[in-house]
Amino acid sequence: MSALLQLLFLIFSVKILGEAAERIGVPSVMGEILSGVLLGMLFLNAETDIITFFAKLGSIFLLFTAGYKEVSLKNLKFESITALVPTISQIVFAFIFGFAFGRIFELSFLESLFLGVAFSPTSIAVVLGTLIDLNYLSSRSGSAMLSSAFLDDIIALFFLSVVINFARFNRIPPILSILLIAGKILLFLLIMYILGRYLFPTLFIYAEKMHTREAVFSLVAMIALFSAYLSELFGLHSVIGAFTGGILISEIPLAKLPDIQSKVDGLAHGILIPLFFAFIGFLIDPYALRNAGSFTFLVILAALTGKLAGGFIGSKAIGFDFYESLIFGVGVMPRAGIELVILTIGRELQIINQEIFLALVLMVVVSILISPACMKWVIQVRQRKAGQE
Amino acid sequence: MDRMYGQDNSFSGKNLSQGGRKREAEVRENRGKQSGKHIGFSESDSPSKPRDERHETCLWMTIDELMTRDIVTVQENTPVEEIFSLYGKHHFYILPVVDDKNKLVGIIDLDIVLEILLLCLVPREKHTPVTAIRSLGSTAREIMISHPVIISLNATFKDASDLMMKYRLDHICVIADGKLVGILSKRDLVEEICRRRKMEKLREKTG
Repeated sequence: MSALLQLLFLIFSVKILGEAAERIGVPSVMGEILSGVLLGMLFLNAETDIITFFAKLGSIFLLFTAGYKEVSLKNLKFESITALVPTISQIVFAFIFGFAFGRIFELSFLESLFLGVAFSPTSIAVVLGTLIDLNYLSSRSGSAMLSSAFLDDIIALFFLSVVINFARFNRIPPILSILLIAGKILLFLLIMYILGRYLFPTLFIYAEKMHTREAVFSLVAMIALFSAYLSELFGLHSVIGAFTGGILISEIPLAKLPDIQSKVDGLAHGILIPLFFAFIGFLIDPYALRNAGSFTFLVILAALTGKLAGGFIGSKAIGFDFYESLIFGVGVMPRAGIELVILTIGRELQIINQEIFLALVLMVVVSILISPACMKWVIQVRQRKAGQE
Repeated sequence: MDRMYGQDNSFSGKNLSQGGRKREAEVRENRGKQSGKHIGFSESDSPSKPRDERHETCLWMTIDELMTRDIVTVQENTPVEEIFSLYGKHHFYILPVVDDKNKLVGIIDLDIVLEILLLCLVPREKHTPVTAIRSLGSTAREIMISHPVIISLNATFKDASDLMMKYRLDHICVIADGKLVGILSKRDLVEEICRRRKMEKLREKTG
């Protein structure tokens, strides 16, 4: 009974607070995290198991829809090698900043590695609204950001799958084990590719002919769960499988019927993903925030400057002017969905402790809050400069 | 394939971007005029078959006899501006994108065009990289949906109506041997049924 009430409360509050966040001009994910914090404060005996379960489904569907709707392998084709430079540069910088930061603060090797991974992803969607409003999407930096966004997530998830496997050793594993891990990842990808190429399309043709209600939609959901499960069998995390599964069915016409897409959206963005964001808030102890000190501040600073510097230097290197490079750097600063999933995985596998987890969640919050504002400011300064000249 | 293009609509295999623009426009005009009497067109297509006798078999007639054949297509490298002006001129909903062998590679529909033209009004939930990249596209290839739902030329009326009613599809591209041969819309199905009902009534009156 109480579990029902708590779920009801969560879904209600994520929508209300999410809306409130949108109204004051920040992405709804802020309000959704806040509703989880509220749940922790209002319900003393929160049904942690049930909420955790829904959050897990949420993280699976977050990555699944990212692959299913957002990533198109077509878009990975870069016009030239030079277009890759800013992307690679910002990822490498962010990773090095994270890793070096961990080493400087004398965290373990694994924790440092994880910080590097956690610093790498980008959520371009956070600044897209600003870019569209200011009509800046078609600029050089705008399109560089967009091509960067896809590669970012894929690289971050790849790093993550490696780190998860390293977690078992807690040091650089022997060379044989590294080969084994690489072999497992490749084998998983190979199996998924074969299934996606030959089995899944056939299954959809049969499902479409079935008289049972919503057979095609169920098949999409089943593929999400199946690929998540399969990747766990291979020692990868379920979300990585879900992401792969999503990409594989993203080019199957029957899986991408508008009708089916909107149903998947309803399940994922309507219920499960907001519950996952709320779960993040639920994991945060609001009273611990008081103790958050210079360490937290430095994590935030390192994570943001890593992206900014990497993006700036990389785009400057291929001939962007000062402001364009700055805009690109700011554009790759925000983190959201995939970043939060990576953080919960780190916490779940006890790679990072509660303090680092909290610092990284705050980093996400700060990056979401300041990136659009910074972006707006830089673009306006640039336009003013251009106007003067 | 010849039976598709051998008639007055030899145009459907050709392309806007391929210099046949003038003829294209003429055909468009014709299509505009014809759009209301598509059935007349298909009757002349197979005059030997007295349709009213096959009323019950309506469900089993192939979509070959129902679909619109004289469709406008664009090629992968057709500029976006040209696509917009096509939509500005004509009342169609989907625009198939074909390669030089008339193989269907994708479709563009009104939703996509609207999203690109009204990017500033797109709801926030659609502020995704995919929408953004599409809005920057300069050719048909970059904005199309590359995985359209298709139906084979031999499929029946029932197959098509199943697909349309189950998944709320309005238009389906018709394919034969991997090549685009026409478009079937809900309207084609409705018009066919209405035509049959009318014939039935007429027959009752006269006979």
